[in-house]
Amino acid sequence: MIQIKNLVKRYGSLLALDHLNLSIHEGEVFGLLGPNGSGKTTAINCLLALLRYDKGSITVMGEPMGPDSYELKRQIGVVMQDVAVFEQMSVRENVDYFCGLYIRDKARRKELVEDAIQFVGLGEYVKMRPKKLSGGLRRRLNIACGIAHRPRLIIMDEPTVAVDPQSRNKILEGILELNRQGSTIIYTSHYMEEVEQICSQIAIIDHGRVLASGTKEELKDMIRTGETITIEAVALEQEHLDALRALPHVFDVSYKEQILVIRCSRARHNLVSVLHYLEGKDLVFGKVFSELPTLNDVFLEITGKGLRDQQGGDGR
Amino acid sequence: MTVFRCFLKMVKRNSRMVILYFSIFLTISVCMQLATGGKGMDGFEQESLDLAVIDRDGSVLARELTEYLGRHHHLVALSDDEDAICEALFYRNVVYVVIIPAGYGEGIEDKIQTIKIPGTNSAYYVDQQIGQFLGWVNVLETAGYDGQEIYERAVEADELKTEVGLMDKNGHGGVQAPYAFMFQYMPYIILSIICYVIGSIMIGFRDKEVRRRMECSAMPPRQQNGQLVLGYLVLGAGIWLVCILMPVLLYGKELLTDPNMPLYMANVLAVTLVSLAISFTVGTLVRKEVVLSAVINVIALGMSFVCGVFVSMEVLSKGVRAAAQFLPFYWYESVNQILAMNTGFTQAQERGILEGLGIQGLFAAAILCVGLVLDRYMAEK
Amino acid sequence: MHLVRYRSIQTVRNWSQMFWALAFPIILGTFFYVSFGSGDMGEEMGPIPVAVVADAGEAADTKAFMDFLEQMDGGVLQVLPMEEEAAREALQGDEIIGIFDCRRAPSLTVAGTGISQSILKSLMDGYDKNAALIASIVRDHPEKIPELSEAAAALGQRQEMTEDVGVKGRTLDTNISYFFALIAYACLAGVFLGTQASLDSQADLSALGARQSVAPVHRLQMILTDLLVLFFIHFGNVLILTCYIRFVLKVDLGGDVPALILVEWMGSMIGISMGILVGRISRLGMSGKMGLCVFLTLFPSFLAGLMFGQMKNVVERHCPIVNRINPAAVLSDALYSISVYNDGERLIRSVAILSIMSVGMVAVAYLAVRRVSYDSI
Repeated sequence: MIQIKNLVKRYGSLLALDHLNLSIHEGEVFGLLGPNGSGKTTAINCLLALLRYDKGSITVMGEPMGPDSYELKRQIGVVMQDVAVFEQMSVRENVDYFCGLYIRDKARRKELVEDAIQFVGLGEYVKMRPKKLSGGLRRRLNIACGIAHRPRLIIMDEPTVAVDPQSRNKILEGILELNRQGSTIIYTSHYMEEVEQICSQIAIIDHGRVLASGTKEELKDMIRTGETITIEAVALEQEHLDALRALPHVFDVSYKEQILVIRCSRARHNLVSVLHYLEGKDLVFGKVFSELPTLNDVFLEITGKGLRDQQGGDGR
Repeated sequence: MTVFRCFLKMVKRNSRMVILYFSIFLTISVCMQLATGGKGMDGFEQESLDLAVIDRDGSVLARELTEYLGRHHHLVALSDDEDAICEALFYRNVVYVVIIPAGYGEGIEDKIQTIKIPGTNSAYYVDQQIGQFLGWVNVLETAGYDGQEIYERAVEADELKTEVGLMDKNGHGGVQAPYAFMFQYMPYIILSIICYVIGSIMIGFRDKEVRRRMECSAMPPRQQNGQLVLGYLVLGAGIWLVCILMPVLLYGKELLTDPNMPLYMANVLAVTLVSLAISFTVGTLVRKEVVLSAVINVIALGMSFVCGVFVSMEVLSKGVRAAAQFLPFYWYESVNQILAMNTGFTQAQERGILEGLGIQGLFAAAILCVGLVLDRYMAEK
Repeated sequence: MHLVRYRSIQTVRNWSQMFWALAFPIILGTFFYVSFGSGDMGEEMGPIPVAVVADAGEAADTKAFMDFLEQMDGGVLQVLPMEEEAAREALQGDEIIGIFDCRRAPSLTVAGTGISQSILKSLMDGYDKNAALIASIVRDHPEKIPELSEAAAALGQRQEMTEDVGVKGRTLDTNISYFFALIAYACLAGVFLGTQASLDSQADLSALGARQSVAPVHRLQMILTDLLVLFFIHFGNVLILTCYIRFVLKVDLGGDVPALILVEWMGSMIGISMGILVGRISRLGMSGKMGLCVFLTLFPSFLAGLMFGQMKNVVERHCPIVNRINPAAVLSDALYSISVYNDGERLIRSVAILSIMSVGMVAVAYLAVRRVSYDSI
């Protein structure tokens, strides 16, 4: 449905998009994952023909995408990162206005607006002005304005930033429902749990390039880490660490502040062999965690840094 | 002193706007000074006007009238053409046009027609002068003179110079001191700047989150407020200084040697304190910058018009002057007027000055109290 | 139409911008009205207090003068008999405006050059000259004295020898220049509406703008609709102000209504277009832009006479080019042409300048906003 080929965008000397290639098919919930500054929003803006780019091509539904591609625009819905509504109009007026930019027919529009408001759960707030709504409700309004016209393609740029858990769940559910109803969704975020939860296809980008793409499973297969074992262990010596490292399938051991972290490649019985070793040496240990790789692990390995800037390491 | 320093930092951030205001003020003052010769707007009117006479009559009377007017004013030649008249008036080449209707010399009933541009005050007197001349002619005729002698007598009478003694009360020859005009509209500038700067800073400090954070801190609220007050005072002092320096820059020695200088300074200080109080009160009520600038402009411009900052107090109607007494700027202007025209003071004038300064102080205190009460009320909401 | 309806709602409900565009000029107009009343200068003034110093014995000269003053007492003057010392002190203390000393030949002492003093001067002057004239007549033609007295008496009063006509017959309030400057200000105040609209529709200025830009609405259509709606709304604002001035404050603005409307329409266009341009200045934040809007409305209006009525004249004398390019001044001139001069040619000239300005502004504004995709957002 969407083909982005070799997209290059420069801001002066800064290369924001570096031969970006993306291919998105109809019916997918496509996740665009990357840290701040990776080029996600730039790519989206180019896709929407809001930004001019230096090289490359973008086709949407078989047609090249440009600022004047009004027919294409009619079938696209956008939910921006910042809440984009008019403060001086009520909820219903906002949704009606934006829907009206796409749908001319009054009767049909009325239906769609009602549906959209119900869909996001703002039925009780139709007459209120946005500034009276809480952050989560405002986001929901933002979404309603973007999807009321039932577009075939919906682009959501970090829709759940600073949103309360209740609203967040509703939003994620809503996205899945929209997908079920036939829309293709492009979802950018740096919350990997969400992406993991709803996306069928994922692309990881950084520095303006796609580093890896595929389904969740495919991505996780790409990395070495098959399993991460974390153990609270007291008083481990260097020889223990060396021995642990020598265990089969283990490729990384770290021990800091009494927390032992062992990364192993995919295999059965990794946990068992580790515990066995510790038992054998009569070492005391407390809690034990064993995790399958997360997208953050994928990201870490591929890029060498965490998805969220404030956390290094495991992203916990 | 953290709060104080923070306050100063915020002031610095606003400094661009402050500098802009001051430079505009200074530029305008310089321009006005050059343009009006320091006499201010009232003094701009000349005694000798640019005037045109359109003589549709051609009689001796008409000619003599024209000459008479020419002796007092500057005659500008103008053709009897509506267009030409309009053009001349529009570009202020003439400010007064006299049209002598045909047959006037024969004694028809028509009056002499005059055209004045609205807003020129001295044109009022030209009416009188014309009336006077014609009256003389009438009397002389009745007295039995005729022909040329009428006009010679009239001219003779006209040449009589009335000696009007001038009591020079302020060393400037009966005209108000040139810098007095600058002091006249200073309150508008001071109020605008102070309100704007302090208003925006207070919006920052009163932001709900910031306020909560400050209340949780280890510094007791009294100390915090104390530092804020110090900040206000320092800002006020700074602005006061700049406002005093500007006329000094422009007028130099003339102002410095004026014995009223300390009183001018005191007057400006009083109005600065009033402005600080107003800005504090406005700052407690207003939450958004947009609203702030709206409110400031309404208050500043409104009070300025009604209290004689732009329009000299003489022109205001009696009712307005009475009502304006409830506004602080009125008292500033009344003190300023006394200072502008006098160097030695009678007891009554001294009292007037002290009254003016005192009342401004009272206003400042009262407005401040209102602000404090409102502040507490808003905080509790 | 959908666009028109919503654009109107969005603009009108934006209280903060509408305040500047509508409410503020009305408030200012009310202040003017309150300050000036609607009387001409001189008519509002009360009796001028003067001191009269006289000896017990009165010469013929002084008697006539005293009579003259007595006639004025209670009307133009408030006559207060005093001793010389007391009189000088009173003058020093501004309790009186002038001292008429009647002990020898009548003389006047004042302490300033204001309006009141000028009135006193002209009274003195008039009296002196009249007296001299009468005296010389009496010397030459003593037989005519009886006939003279009537004519002489008439000399003492203000003569109604002249009538003031406007160029085409309208006489107007002397303070009307303030109201013209006010209308010019109101036109320029469209700058607030334009700025807000610019912010809302430009993708590189706000998320709202971005959302509007990705919609399948033709750019040109959107811009034109915006401009038209804004013009109409602001034009409405100015009309409301005009009606307020004309009907509530009862200030006569001249009789040529179509010309007035035309001028105000163009003024509104200039204001709105300026606003759109201001909105495009990316360097400033929202409050910076607001500040600029306030400046762009107050300063040109100040130069056109909003605060000091004479300002436009001052500018005309010293730097007339400013009055040709200052939109507020051109607007004020146009308004003058309509009402004061009732003058076709000046009006046409002002209107010509205005149309160049407005068309030019709109064109520049259009060029500034027609872009849909940018180099950076």
